[in-house]
Amino acid sequence: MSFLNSSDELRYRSYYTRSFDHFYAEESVAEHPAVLRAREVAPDIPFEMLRSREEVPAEHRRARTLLAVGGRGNAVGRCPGTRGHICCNYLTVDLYTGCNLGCSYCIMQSYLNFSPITVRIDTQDSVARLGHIARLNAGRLVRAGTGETGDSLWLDPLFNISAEILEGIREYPNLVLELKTKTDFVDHLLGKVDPAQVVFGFSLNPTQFAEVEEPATVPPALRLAAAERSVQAGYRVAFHFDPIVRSAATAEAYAQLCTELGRFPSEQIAWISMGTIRYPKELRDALPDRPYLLDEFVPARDGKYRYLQRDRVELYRAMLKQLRAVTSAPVYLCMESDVVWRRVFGGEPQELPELRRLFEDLEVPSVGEAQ
Amino acid sequence: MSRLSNSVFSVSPAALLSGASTFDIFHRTSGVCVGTERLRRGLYAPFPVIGHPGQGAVTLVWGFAAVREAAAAGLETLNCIGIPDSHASALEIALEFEQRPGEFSPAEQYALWRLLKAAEPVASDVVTRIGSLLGSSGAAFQARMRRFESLPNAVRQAVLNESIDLKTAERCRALPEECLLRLSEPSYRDAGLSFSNTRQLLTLLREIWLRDGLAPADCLMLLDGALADSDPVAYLRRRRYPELVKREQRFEELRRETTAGSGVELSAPPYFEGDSFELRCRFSSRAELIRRRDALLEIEDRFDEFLELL
Ligand code: SF4
Repeated sequence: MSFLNSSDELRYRSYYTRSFDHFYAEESVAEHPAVLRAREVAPDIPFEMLRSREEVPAEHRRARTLLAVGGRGNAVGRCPGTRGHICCNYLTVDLYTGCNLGCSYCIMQSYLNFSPITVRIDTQDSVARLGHIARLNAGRLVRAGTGETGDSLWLDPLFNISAEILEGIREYPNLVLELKTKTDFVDHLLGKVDPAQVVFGFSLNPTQFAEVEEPATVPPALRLAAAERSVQAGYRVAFHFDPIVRSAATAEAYAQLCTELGRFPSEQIAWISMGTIRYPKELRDALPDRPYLLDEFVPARDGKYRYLQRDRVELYRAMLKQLRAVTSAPVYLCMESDVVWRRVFGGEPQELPELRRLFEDLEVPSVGEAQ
Repeated sequence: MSRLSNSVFSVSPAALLSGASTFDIFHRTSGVCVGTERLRRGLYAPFPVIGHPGQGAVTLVWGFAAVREAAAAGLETLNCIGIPDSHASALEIALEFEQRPGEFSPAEQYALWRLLKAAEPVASDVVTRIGSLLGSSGAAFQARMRRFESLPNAVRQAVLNESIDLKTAERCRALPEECLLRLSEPSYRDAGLSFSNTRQLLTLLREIWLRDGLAPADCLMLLDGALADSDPVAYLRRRRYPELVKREQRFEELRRETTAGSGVELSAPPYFEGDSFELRCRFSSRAELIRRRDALLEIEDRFDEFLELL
């Protein structure tokens, strides 16, 4: 097992065996190196090959089932920015659908009641499309991420897909892949992938909140420790305060988390994002009754429910001040309105020299346009 | 209706009404209205019954309202027709007579469900047909009834008397029983809340109860306070969204103080999301224009107070 060291082998073998009861793979990818690797890492998960995903037995359509699928074709899109809000100008690569880390605010909770965790094994088309976009935008920074519909690194020590993508995009220096996670599963990549093209992104929330609301994730302190290992190995990291949840208990804890970022050299923090908790109305019923959801939310211009604008601005300003005291890394807002941007930063991202490069307009051709 | 036997016989309304009332479950005005005059002239389809007067009591399967009407009008006999002694097919026939898919009340549906459950094993095609006569599918009907049966008693009662719908009931099932019982009491029905207002009211109540960790007695007091108010939903909204309501009230005050009587319409962005207020006015005389201008100057004087809201 070349890509894991022996202590990681033990750790991940037991971790994934505890996480899954069944492992299915579609015939078309059953012999794919990524699937073979996964079977080697966790040989105790009962494995079965299927002609197609429809054959997963009804009683196994749940989060404790892992399903590797083929399905070439486009999995690269733009980050789903919303009406009237400024999107973070990001390309998304859909590798994973589902996650059972159990964050109470995540819509995956309702999705998972009837679906296995699905991994799109074949990344060739996605790599080709990323390459095409990178060529079209030569000279501009193209940011892509795999953490839109699942955690980028949660299953990576099993399939090692990120390394494959990174290998595929090596010839496009303006393309950066962010691996966004609530785990500390970075060690299998450190020293093995090119630091110029990868950013390890860690979502951060206060420990007390994470313990209750992100129960199966790796505790924030360990995520920070993984960030430190990444930095020491010469990689850049990113931090995402998202979702920011306010309460009497969390205010102080966020301040402390911001302070902790001071131990990272600014030049090795690629970016930091902030986004207060939000949800579309139709998903409210699917979310459990958690105390933080009983705060005051109002529909913003994109229809998503957020804290009152004035309260969001206050939260962001306070956090920005704490961050500015310890780092000069670029800080941006995730899915916020132009008004909030102006109130917090004094301008929209393209008007701010430190953010202009991250928010440069990208040319993203529609699928099927000549590559 | 091939399940009806061919021979029509006469039975007195009194005999029909004194038989078992098992199938007397439809309480909304029937889609098929017979009317006394037609009953008198015999212009109606024979009433379906189980049994035959020559062999003992008969059980009326459908038409209780019409038979009562006939009894009150003093009619001596009504035409009846025998059907097989099976609850499931009797229900199917009764529904065919009702002819109002999609309009059965929760109480009617539940009575029907209980009869079906008590009946001999019911073939799935019968459930499917019954579902479609009710205006949905057999599976949807069964699922709805099972959801209903999983509710606590007090909530079920509120659904049966149509104070709340099933979805709201499910959402609010965990509220203290005292509050749920209130939903079936006259004081609640007297408040005359629509389904949608009820849904909002209970959602607000539930969220306040959870957020503030109210004791059952306090939760009931809150509900009663709301029901005694002229606008129960607004009453609870003030408690659920204090910041938003405070801003709305402050804006109202400012609007009144700066523009009342001036002919200037001033509005804030929805939910105070955004950075601009909207002004609208028309004028057709110098005097009007001066009034509008004075209002604008007033707004300008208090500009910071407006801005505070966004
Ligand atoms: S880690 Fe991400 S994808 Fe997984 S449950 Fe949490 S929020 Fe959802």
